[in-house]
Amino acid sequence: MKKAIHYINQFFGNIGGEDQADFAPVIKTGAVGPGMALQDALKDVEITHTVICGDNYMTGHKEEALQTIQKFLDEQEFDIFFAGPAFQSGRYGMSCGEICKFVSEKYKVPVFTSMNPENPGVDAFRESDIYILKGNKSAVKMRKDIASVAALANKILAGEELLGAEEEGYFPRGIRKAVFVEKTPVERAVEMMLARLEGKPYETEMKIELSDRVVPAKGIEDMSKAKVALVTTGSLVPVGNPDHIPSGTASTWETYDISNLDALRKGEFYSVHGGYSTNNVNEDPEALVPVSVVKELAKEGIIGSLHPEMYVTTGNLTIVKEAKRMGREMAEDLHAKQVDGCIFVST
Amino acid sequence: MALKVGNFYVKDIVFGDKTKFSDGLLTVNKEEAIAHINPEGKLKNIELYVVHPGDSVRIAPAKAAVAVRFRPDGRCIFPGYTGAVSKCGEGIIYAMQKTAVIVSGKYSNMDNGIVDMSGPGAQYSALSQLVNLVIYAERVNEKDLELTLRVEEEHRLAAHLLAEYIGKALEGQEPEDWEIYDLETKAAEAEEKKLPRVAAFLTVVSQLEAGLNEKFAGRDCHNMAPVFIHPNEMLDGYVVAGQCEGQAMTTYDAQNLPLIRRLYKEHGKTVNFVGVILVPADVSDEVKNANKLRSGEMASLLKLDAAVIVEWGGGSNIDVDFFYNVAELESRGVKTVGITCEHAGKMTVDPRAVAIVSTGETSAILELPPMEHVIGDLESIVRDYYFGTWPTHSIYGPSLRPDGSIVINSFALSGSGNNTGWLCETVKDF
Repeated sequence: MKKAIHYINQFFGNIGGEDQADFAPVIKTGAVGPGMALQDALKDVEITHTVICGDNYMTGHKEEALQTIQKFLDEQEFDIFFAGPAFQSGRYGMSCGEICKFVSEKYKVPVFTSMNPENPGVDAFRESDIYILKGNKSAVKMRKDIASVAALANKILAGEELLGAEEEGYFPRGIRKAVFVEKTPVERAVEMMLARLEGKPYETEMKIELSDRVVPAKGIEDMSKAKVALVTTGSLVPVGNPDHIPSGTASTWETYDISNLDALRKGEFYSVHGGYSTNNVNEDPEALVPVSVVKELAKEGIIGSLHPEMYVTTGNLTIVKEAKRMGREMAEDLHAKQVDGCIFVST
Repeated sequence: MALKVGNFYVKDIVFGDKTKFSDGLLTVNKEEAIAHINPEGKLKNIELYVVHPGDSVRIAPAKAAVAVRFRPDGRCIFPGYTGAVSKCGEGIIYAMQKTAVIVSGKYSNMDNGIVDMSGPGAQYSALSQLVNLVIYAERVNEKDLELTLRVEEEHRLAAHLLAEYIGKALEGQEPEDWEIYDLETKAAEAEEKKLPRVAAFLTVVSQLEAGLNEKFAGRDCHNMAPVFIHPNEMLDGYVVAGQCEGQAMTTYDAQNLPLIRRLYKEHGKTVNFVGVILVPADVSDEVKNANKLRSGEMASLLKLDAAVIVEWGGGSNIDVDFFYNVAELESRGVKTVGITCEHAGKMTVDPRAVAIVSTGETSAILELPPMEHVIGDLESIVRDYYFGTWPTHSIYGPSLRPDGSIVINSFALSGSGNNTGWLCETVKDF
């Protein structure tokens, strides 16, 4: 028998309505409210505890809420975690998303919730390693939503292979996987083309998401006071590659101190990139990361200063999701170190 | 211009006294074959192997794959490459099916791939489903080993020469079946029926230094502009491929191209298949734009109603050309379907690409068991370059483990992106 913990809000936890939305988290033994139906629908799973938290408390005091719940969870053993269903309720959806993301990252157990497509929690959390089932608008269809959550959880606990987000009824998690189907790509392409020519419906196999568009940052007003950093995805590392930066499929990045160097020299730095011809860079690393030139600019007062660390990863066969995460982490680090701008050198 | 392809189906390959083909059994005289593929003596330590689907064999590196053909009229099968340039795509050609010639060597080049003949890796490579004749050879003047990409014309040429040599075993025989590719006769029919005009746009690797790219009529495609060709020219050896990695089009793919064969089936029935445009993928944005306009003008001049465009060669560079071309064609009112693989997303996209067929996914981390036999050099996996293997990795460690098992990006398997479309594969959200 697997053990589950279920998270619900103050309303479904029978604490109260909007007046109790600031309710601080509590943990109760056994299933509560919607947890009863969930318990019935699950196979070989026991909901041992239920965490109840006010929606405003979770969204307004996230750190405190998560800290308190972590204390509860640290004392329990559990194999799986549920939250909601949250229907179309925005704050409840965001709360379920927060706690699910937290539990998934912290406890590495499968995590499930359910939301209506219009719930803002869907876009905020669907790529956070959690399963958000496509749910109905309101609690009138509670049983249906719970049934779909339980069906997916049962399937995953039984070790059955999933067919895909659409087939299983959850929102895409930003994970794309190859699957074998009946028809060849060419067969599908010709059918798609004929459908388009005849004005019939067709479905693209790769939806273009425009949310991926990057808006360039505003220009720096006074470069002579700006601290500038050098960032590269061209895998320029100290010879010997001490941090094992891979030639492709990187999911880590490193910084290297360049404050005492007047230039990057052959024999001291080289590129371990596996996606471009590194011949020229290995002959002269400055062809990739022009430390000497930027230092010269700093001396001349054209820029304020060069940040003492060079940021390095490999941009080759990188999974887009990982690239986004690394970019975010680097940006946060640059920001924390009061860097005003960076030169993202080209490969 | 009609091309008649007479098919012979290979069931097995053995070595023997005389190179011959009989009842599906191909017998190869090894010494004669080796002499034939090494006319200038630039290769050494040459060995030939036969590998079957299900064999415990790993080919690493695989440098090129070629289909076996024979021209009864005596001309070479790769005009401009294995012999003089001649008109191509017309007449009779014999084809050995279910088999390919693959060339391997000691050192991997960045655009080389791995072929597993069995185990979980075999399902991602069309070459793993064939009975293959594999060349192992080393270059006499091995050089440029420190380079991640080096010109190794000796290997590529050897594979093409062997395919030509083997094909001669078909001389005087009667094919098991025929395929007829007659564009013009059916075009008249299609025009009468006013069927929608359709072309195939095929990206070719052209961005690398000369000697590493695809060849067209024997000439390297470096800096080439888009070129309009007859579909039969594609099937008949005018395109010699330069790569064998995960998202590559090999010569074998070009000679058998499923898209062309499929469009021929519709030709005169539902569409008017007017031809093929080879779309090079250059490096600078200026040239990319110039090339996309060139393909666009061709589409307009050909009065296309629809198009299918295939992306090969992979990587972020060709992603740009692929989406540039899709957008350009769509903006001219050509209903365009793109065929491409993914690598957990795309480097660049364009919202005008509204109809894409996704062929495969090259970012999966695969753990593949050791094989009893390795053709090539297993050490190449960590010593040399492949797209998708690592000498070191902060999470997975080196791609080659002491027991001979490997952990790689699926990209490293030849043809794993499935851009040519041999495998019934798609990509879904999970």
